[in-house]
Amino acid sequence: MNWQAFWLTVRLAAIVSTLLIAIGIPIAYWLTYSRWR
Amino acid sequence: MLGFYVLVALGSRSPLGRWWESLTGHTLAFTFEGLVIGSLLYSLPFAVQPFATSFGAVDRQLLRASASLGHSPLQTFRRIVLPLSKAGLVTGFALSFAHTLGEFGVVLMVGGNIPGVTRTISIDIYDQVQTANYSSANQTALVLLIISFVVLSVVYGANRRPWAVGPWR
Repeated sequence: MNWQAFWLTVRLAAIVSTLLIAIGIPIAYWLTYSRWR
Repeated sequence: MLGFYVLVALGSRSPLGRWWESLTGHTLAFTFEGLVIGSLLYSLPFAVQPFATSFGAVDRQLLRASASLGHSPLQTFRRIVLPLSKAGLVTGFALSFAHTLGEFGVVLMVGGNIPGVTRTISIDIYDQVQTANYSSANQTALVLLIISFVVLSVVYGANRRPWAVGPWR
C-alpha cells in the first residue's frame, strides 16, 4: 500500500469537493432560478 | 478528451498558463494545483446536479412568502433554500469526493505520474498492474473501494428520513 499516494488522493478529493461547494452553489442557483429556463 | 484540453489550457502556451508562469515561475501542468483545476472541472457536474435538484425541490410558495415579507433573493436563499437543501449539498459533496478519489484519465493527463506530487492512488494501482504486482494492486483497490463505499453509505444513511417510511407516520 502506497500511503503517500493514498494521502495525496484524499487531500486532492477533500480540496476539490470543498471548492466545489463554493463554485457549485452559485452555478446550481443560476441553473435553478434563472428566468430563461 | 477533457484531460487533453485541460492540459492544453494549463500549458505554457496558453494565456492562463503564461499568466500562472509569470506569477509563480512554473507551469500549472504536472503540478498539484493543476491537478486540482482538472479535478474541479471533471467533478463539477457531480456536485452541481444534486445541488440544483435540491434547490428546485424547495416549495416556491415559501420563496414567495419570504419575498412578500421583504427579504431579498440572497436572504431568501441563505435563510430558506440553503437549510432546506442540506441533503442535496451533502450528497453533492460526497459524490464529488468519491468521484475525485477514483479518477484516472484526467489525473494522468494533467498531472502525469510524479511521486508525492501528482501520483494518486488510481495511478499507483495502474503502475502496480503494469509491473504485474497484482496482490498489491488488489490490496490498494480494495482499500479504495471500501473507503468509497463507507463515504457513500454514511452520506446516504445520514440523508435517509426514517420517519418518511416508518409505520409510526
